[in-house]
Amino acid sequence: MMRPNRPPQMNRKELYEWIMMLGFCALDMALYLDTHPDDAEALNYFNQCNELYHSAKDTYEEQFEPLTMLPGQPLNSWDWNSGRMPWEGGR
Amino acid sequence: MWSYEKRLQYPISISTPNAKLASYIISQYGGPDGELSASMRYLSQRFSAANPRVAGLLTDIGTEELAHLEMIGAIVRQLTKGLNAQELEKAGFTPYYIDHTAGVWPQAAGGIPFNACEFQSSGDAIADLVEDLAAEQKARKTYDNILRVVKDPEVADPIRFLREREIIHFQRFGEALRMVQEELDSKNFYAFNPDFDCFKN
Repeated sequence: MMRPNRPPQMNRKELYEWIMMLGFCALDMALYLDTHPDDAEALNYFNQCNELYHSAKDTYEEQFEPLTMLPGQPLNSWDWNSGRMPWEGGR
Repeated sequence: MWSYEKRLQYPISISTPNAKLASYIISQYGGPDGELSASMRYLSQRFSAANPRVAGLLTDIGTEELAHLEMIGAIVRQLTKGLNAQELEKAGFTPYYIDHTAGVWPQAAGGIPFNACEFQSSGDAIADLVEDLAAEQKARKTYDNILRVVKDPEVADPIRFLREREIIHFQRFGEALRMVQEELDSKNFYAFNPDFDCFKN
């Protein structure tokens, strides 16, 4: 399976969509692994997607805002519920 | 327990509100084959799923369905945002608007409120998984019906994504059913679920 390729310079919107893509790859592989736990190739692909997902999420959270209530790094201000909510669109 | 991730599963950005479409698509929020029904079905059924892999799959798919519920809520929100009462009336949205303004509330396209009788949690793994397979097909059917009347590509695109997920979930539930059936005694030809009667403290 192909390793997802990170586009080089990403703005906020591109990074956010990259996180969506990686999160989707990891989730879809997780469901597949739920019923095919012995598929080594699938597990390897899951691990690649998951690693890229966490690294993209860390970058986004460092540069912009937390994506989860318990982010991986200390916060300078409480930005969790500020800004536009995901359902408002146009990110 | 759950933690919220502050993003949609798939991007939704609708530039042109259309309350008529919202009144159709809300069926996948609270209608008979909608995402609320799906998430509550799987997240309830998992408690009695004796096979831990099946219980895990029900948890994971039930969780993804919550993200789909959020996507449908986002579509309804964006399709009704900024419209005034006259515009809503012109779109045939008034019966909904009178009770809910432009809030998002679980109902079917025909106005019938969400009801837990739309799904079962039977305590019988085979009965539940066969229902789950049907549920995924019924949700796929509703998305097909929606896609036949949606012309706006910004609305059709996330609806197509959701439709494809129903197909994947149908595959996974088929595999889960096979896992449960393989655990049965070979003489159990009619695939009765033995879990309840076999349970020992």
